[in-house]
Amino acid sequence: MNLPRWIAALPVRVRSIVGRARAENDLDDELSFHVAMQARAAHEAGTSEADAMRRARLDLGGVLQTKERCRDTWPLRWAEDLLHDIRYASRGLRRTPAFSLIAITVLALGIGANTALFSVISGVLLRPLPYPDANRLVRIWSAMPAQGYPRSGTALPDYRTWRATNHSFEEMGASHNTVYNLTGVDPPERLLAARMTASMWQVLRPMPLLGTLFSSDAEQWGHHRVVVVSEGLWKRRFGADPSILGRTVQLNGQPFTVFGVLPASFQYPNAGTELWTPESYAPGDAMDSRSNRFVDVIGRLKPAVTVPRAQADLAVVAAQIRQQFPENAGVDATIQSWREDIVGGVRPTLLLLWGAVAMVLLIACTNVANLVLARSLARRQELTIRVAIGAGRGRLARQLLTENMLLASVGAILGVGLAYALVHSLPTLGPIGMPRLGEVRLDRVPLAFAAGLAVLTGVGFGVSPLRYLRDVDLANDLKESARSAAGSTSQSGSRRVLLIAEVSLSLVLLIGAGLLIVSLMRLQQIDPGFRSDHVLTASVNLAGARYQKHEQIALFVRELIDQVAMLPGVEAAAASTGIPLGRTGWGKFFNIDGRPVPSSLAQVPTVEYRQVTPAYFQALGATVSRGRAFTPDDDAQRPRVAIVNETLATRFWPNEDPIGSRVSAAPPESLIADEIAGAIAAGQLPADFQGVPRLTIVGIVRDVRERGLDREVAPTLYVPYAQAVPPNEDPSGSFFLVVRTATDPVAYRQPIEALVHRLDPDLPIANVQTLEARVAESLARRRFAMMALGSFAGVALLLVVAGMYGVMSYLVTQRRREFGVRIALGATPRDLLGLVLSQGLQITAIGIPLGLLTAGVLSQFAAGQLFEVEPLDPRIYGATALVMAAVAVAACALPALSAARLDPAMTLRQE
Amino acid sequence: MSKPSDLVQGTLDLLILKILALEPMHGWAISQRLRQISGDALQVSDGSLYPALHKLEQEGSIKAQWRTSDLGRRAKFYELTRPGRKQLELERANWERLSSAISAVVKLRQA
Repeated sequence: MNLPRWIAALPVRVRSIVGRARAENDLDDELSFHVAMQARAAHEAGTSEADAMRRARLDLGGVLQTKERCRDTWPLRWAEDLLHDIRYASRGLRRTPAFSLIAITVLALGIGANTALFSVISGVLLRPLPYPDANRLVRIWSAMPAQGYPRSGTALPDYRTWRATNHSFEEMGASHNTVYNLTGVDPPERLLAARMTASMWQVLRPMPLLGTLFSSDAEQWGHHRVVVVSEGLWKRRFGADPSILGRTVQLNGQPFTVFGVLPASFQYPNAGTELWTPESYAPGDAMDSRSNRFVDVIGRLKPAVTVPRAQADLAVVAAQIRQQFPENAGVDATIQSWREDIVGGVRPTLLLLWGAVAMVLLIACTNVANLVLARSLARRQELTIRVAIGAGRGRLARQLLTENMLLASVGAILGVGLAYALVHSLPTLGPIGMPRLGEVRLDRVPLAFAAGLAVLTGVGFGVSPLRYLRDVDLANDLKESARSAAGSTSQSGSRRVLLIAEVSLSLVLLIGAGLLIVSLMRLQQIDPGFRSDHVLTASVNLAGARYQKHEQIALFVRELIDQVAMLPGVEAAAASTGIPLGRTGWGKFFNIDGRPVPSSLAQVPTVEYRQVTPAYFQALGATVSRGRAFTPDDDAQRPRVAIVNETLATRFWPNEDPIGSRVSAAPPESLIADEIAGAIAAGQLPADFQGVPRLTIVGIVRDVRERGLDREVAPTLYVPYAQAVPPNEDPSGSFFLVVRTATDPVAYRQPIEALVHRLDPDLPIANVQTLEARVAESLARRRFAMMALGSFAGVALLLVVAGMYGVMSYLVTQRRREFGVRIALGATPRDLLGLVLSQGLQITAIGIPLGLLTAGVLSQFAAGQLFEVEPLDPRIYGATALVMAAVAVAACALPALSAARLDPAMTLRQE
Repeated sequence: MSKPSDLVQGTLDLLILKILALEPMHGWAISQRLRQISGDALQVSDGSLYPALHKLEQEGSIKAQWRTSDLGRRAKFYELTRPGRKQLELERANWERLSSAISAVVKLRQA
């Protein structure tokens, strides 16, 4: 349309939008004027008045229809119609409040649960990590597959060679977790910290809130006492004082200059990390050697470099290192997308839950579809009349669809509210074992998802009644009563199909929940090798000037343990470098005297190594199955002893008794002759060094599931703390306190903290937690998955009951007359009861096998989530199928009873 | 429901514009005039006339005014707008081009 015409049309367009009522009036006047004129002309020509009027109307092709076609030319017709439809639809929905309330609630539940779970999936799995160009970040490990370590930390010199000689990375950085005791302020505090190379700043690219980040100059020993602090620490301990830059803080009793403050959003390597200091070692420090593999390496790929290409590139570099340095025999490098590394583990759980919650929505939709179907039948007459008085079928379809979309939209809005509440209650659920939960938000992506769901569900449950519109038969339908029209076979057929779908889907969910519940039960029933009740644990880190010498550490450990043990109510107190679910590991080479010496260092086995005080096994509730436990007599003056766990015993002495064997926590001397000579020359070993001290195995302890109840037990070697003395061992300054108490262990927190404070006012004590809490935390993800799937299954079961009951009662109402006739002809109430029940049983008889089959296929995908349960466990399948059948029959029972109680005289008279 | 006009698309618009070019008229008068000038050759149902009028009005080719008709009843009188007059010229030119092309083809067949 050209501009002048558009301008000329403007007034009339505006009028027909704004002055809608007048436009309607005018249209009315215009057409009735026409009819009057036409009729007058015909009358004048000799037709009877009434006839002339009728002819005039007919010539116009029906006044209402012509009006409708005129209105179609008016602007914003669609918006007008939509508003009208919505108004009409909401009136209709208000007229049937029970139907609307149920449908909306069911949809809100379905959409809400889906949106909440999708928020988690979006935040955890889909969103890039919170770093610039995060898709280029990869995690790099050293790999020693021959020794059973497909992924291990990396030695700093290896990292430096990787960084210098690769062709795939823009930058690489290394870091490791550590802790500092913040002292010189009251109270002292144990802070999680990371030591990292300055290059890590270029890998992760954080923007400091204040000040600067340290450069690689700070990695030089002597210039290394600089620190970057977290926003949280800066606010908590330094009053958000901007003049903190350039000031010094006491870490482990040494002065560090504050360079900068990082925003709270920077959470590398952990959410709780509050200090970052340079990765720096004194020249000759053994930590900075190729055999100490402890740093985590992150790399930023060059643009367009793929992970496999970078992997191949690093493999070449690792091969070069192997050739040059014998201690790197068998050491390779392996990389993985960083995000995958972080979230890969939870993906199966989340996808499982997503599938489950999608099924709940499907069931909800089928339920609502059933309701809508029933309702559309009741409205059959209304629709027929509307077609008769000029409503286009397309227009009516739109009207019905509007009603359904309105239901879905209201459901979605309430659902989003529900999802919002759910997402916000996530932090209050306690640990659920998911990474990145802090990044979960109900933002654009989940909202768009919810909107999509609303449209999908609205169309999904709204389409089936539309089929009916196609078949509207004016003449017949108007004649028939609404009631008799309702029982049409295609309608009840599709309702039955919907019910079968519901039954089988919810059976799938029940089976899934059953599998997870049994897994968790099995997991809690297994013998962890320790008793988690009545045990308090805490971590202590001795650092700083007071603990430079190993005697000082040994003394402190002894004093602390003795004093804690004397607290009233304490049954046993111990220190250990590792506890169950403490998430620490310490590996050492393991060598047995009298066995053939392996050809290279790479062939020497490694085992987990723990320094423990005598009461450790008692405090933990672990059982020494053979031999003896450590005693206070096993001190530095006595012959060295060791205890091994059963896994270690059976691996290295499959057919013999290891007690009495002599072993060492080091490689055979002949394989490290050069290192020993070097250490003697450097004065680190005495000139008369006779070899690594041998340990005599005195006991075997039942396996303690340290890594987690569902994880394999590593071969473990325990040595007495008091015997961990130089030359080749040192007592660890970083250890756990394990205290078994007679009463509630939490009550001992205060006395123990006071005791530590008395021994050393500058020493913080951290991670005070009961062992039970640690165990619960380790099962958190499984428990969360089980609870979530369990509640989904519960909701699904409820929906099935509601759906089944609804459809069956509806059928009974519809067939009252028929039943009345049957009774009149001699059917007993029993017959009718059986008739209705058999309808329900038919549905269950098809739905249950379908569900079993579907579950059998789908459960294969969940196999990784199960623990000592077969995905096809017949008992679980049988039991849930029985539950399903019982529930279905129960849902049919009430309608069946009401059918049996029908009074034939009443029903027949009503017709 | 009545089917739309059998007339060639847009022909009814041209006829209406042409009729209104002479003087403003109300709908019934237009329908009489249509019957009068085309006889039985063009079957324009009244049911098609009014939607067409409303469409032309919404497009800005014609505008309407309520006046009292000769019978003393209020009637809606349509008249051409200035852009409508241009539109008429355009449509007429199109129509002539089209009809001469068609008749040329038809004559060709007869020959």
